[in-house]
Amino acid sequence: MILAGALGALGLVCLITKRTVVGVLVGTQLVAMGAAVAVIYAGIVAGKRADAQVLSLFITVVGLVTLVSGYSFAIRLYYLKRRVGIRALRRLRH
Amino acid sequence: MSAIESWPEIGFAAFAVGSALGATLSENLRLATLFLWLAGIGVGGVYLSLGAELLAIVQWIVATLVGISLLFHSIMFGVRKGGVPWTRLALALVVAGGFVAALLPGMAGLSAGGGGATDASGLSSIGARLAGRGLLALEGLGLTLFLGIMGAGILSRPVTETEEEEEA
Repeated sequence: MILAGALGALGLVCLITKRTVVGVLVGTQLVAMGAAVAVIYAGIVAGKRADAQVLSLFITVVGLVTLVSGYSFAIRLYYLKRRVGIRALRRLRH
Repeated sequence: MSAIESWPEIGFAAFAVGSALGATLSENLRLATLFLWLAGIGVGGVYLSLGAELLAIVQWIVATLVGISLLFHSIMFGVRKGGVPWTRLALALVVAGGFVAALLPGMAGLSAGGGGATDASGLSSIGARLAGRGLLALEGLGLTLFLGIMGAGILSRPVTETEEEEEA
């Protein structure tokens, strides 16, 4: 469970400190991994391993969907504004 | 009974945390992406040592694809150089510390608990759950992933000449 907490905490630090869209995506992936690991350990303790594996599978795929959407924003941002920083997302409004 | 029972699990967990630390602290985005891939490999190893083989394989595949795609992005579109301001790093550490502190009671409880009868965790039982109680959720997840990929493909298309004129 310490692993899940560590991954989640490091993902949070990454989300806050990174200044590029891809850096933020790295943070979201770490948080998703931490959540999936937490669910697996909770399932082991509760004696419901199969349910925990199914839920962790869902969490992993949802993290993948998040990454795909964020990645597409990163590419679009570069094509439109030639920038990779996350603050440049504000300029997509104009 | 503690949830951690084997040295390989501890080794994989330490490897995953070390890689996550590298991904978080690395200023070079390409290195951060590679560390993220390694963290995914480590987490997959933890799943394997816990007996979740299907999840381990899925995690390895996802981590490799994520690492390759993000690496391509950083190579094609470049990276932004520069360190992190200490104020932002301090804020991040405070938030992360609060997060871990909030989780500590749960972590301690789950680490101390455990034991008792466990249900079957083989592929057949996972398949039965996915095809039974989780069928609607699985269909929704597949549809969400499909729509996400389609939307991402549309969103990440190259800018056309017409759009460039409109931007100007």
